[in-house]
Amino acid sequence: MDVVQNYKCPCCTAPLVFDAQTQNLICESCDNTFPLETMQQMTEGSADSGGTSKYDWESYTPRSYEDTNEVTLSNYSCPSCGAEISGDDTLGSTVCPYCGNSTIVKGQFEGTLKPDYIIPFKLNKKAAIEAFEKDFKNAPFLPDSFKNKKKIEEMAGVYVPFWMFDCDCDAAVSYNAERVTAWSDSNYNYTKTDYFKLFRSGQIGFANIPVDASKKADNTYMEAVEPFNYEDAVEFSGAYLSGYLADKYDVSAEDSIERANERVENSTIEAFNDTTNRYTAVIPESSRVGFSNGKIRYSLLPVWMLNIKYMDKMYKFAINGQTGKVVGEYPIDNSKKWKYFWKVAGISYAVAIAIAYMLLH
Amino acid sequence: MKRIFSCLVLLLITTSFVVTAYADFQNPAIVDDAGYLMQSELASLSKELDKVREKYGFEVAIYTESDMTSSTAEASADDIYDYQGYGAGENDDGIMLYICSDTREYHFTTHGKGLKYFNSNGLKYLESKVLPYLEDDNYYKAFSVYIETTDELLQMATDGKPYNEKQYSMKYLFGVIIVCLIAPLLIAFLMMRKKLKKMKTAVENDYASNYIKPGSMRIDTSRDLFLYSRITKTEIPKSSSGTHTSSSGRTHGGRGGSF
Repeated sequence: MDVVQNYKCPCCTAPLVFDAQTQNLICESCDNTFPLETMQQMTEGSADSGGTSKYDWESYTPRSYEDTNEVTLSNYSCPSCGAEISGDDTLGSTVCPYCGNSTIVKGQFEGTLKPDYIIPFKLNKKAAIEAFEKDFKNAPFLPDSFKNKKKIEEMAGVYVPFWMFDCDCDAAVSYNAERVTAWSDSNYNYTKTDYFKLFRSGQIGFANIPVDASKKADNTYMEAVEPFNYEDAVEFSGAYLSGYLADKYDVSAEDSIERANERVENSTIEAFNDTTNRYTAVIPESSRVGFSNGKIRYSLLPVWMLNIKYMDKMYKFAINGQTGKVVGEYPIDNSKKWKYFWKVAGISYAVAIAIAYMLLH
Repeated sequence: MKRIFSCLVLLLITTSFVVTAYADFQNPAIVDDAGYLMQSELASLSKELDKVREKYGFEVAIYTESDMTSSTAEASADDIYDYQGYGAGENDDGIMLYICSDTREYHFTTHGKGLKYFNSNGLKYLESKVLPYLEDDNYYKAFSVYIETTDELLQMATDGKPYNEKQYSMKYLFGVIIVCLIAPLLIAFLMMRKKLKKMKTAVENDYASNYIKPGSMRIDTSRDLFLYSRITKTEIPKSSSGTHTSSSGRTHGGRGGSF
């Protein structure tokens, strides 16, 4: 049985009626006319972009460490925050990279969960400290007493576990768009707004999207310290852990997928948005993102961690061990902050008074 | 004989002064072709207007007609001013109030120093004084107020401070003061907030744009469907001010509207 297709007016949502004379669909409510072909294409496009997003990721099978004699590893546990970290057996006294506690306990290495890849540290401790010192010099409201050389020296290099996601996406996005033109004659100002429905569909691929796989590492810090250049990644070898700590994943790949999906979906839609810049305003209406060839790998990425206690509060910092990018949250000296505020306000008042004088005279 | 000669010379000198004073103005101060005024009113107002013209050596005129000379009130006022020889001094300085009784439109046209003395704010002020009486069809009062106000504005111009409405509008003054008080605080707050962002760099990244495979994006469908248009039109206010060029090629200022 044929199904009768009812079209609604895109302008006022009233039912459209087929006009035999013009062979168009007309809206008796708002007097707009729409070619039948346009409405058919609009319905097809809406059906395509209005579908449910599908995610197709392969499942990850954990691999165990093998005794390669490359390096002797030990387990270090923090009685303060409960972090369980692996590290070179020869590491001397160290502090917990996640909470700054110095009473970290060394124990027997339990070899499981071998990573697929590792990006080795490119920045040694000296370079990381320099990067941090350069960054905090640019922090405008930092208390003078915050700089604690001894604490900065306690910076620890940690290989943080990440799930790396690869995928190809096919996406369909629909938009409502407007283009505004204006002109005038001797009597009136005119504004013409053209309304459009836009449809975009296509493919886009992503490689090596990292998602933090450690509960102890703050997700916000780990996303902020990106990007990592995956061209430097190598097949995992225990030898790279020498002199550094290494965390192991305690957030499963399945639990991390949701965050990867979010970021991929946002970026896919953003990339498609770039093709709609001929309009005055574009508002996404619906989107569908389908994932295929989803691959997951377990990798260790290099991050220098630093915890500095100031005025009874712990301030955390992370430095990308590959690029030297510093992220964190500095304490704020309120007196410096308000001094700056009133300095700018004072200059602005002087300028405002000069402008006011010119306006009033 | 000598006394008679002296009297004649004095009379000649006095007459020549009077003639000189009126010689600057080729036209009567008021032309009332629309017939708004009675003879006695016309005489009284003309006398007042002449005093103002002579006091400042500046053309101040009123011209009314029933059929518009040109296509618009502005063009009519400009053409009458230019082609009928209104204006004083080398630059034909002056102001004229033009009224067309059929279309009930008015226009103040200015030329020469009139552009400065009756700047857009001055014309706005003049209009605010005159227009209420025009709307009440009280033309005698409207013209009296016109004479008083032009006298007031010409006196200010003679004193070296041509009328500038900004000095008098409480709304404008209040606006400037409020902006001057608030804007610096707002600027300081925004700049402080920008600096504060440097204090917290650990922020989530909701996108994965850094990880898009180079050259992997391919658009298969790109369809832009035009649906419909909406046109809105808003009337340009009839009352307007500013400078323009008249049909004679001279620059005029002006402001006008309907009543």
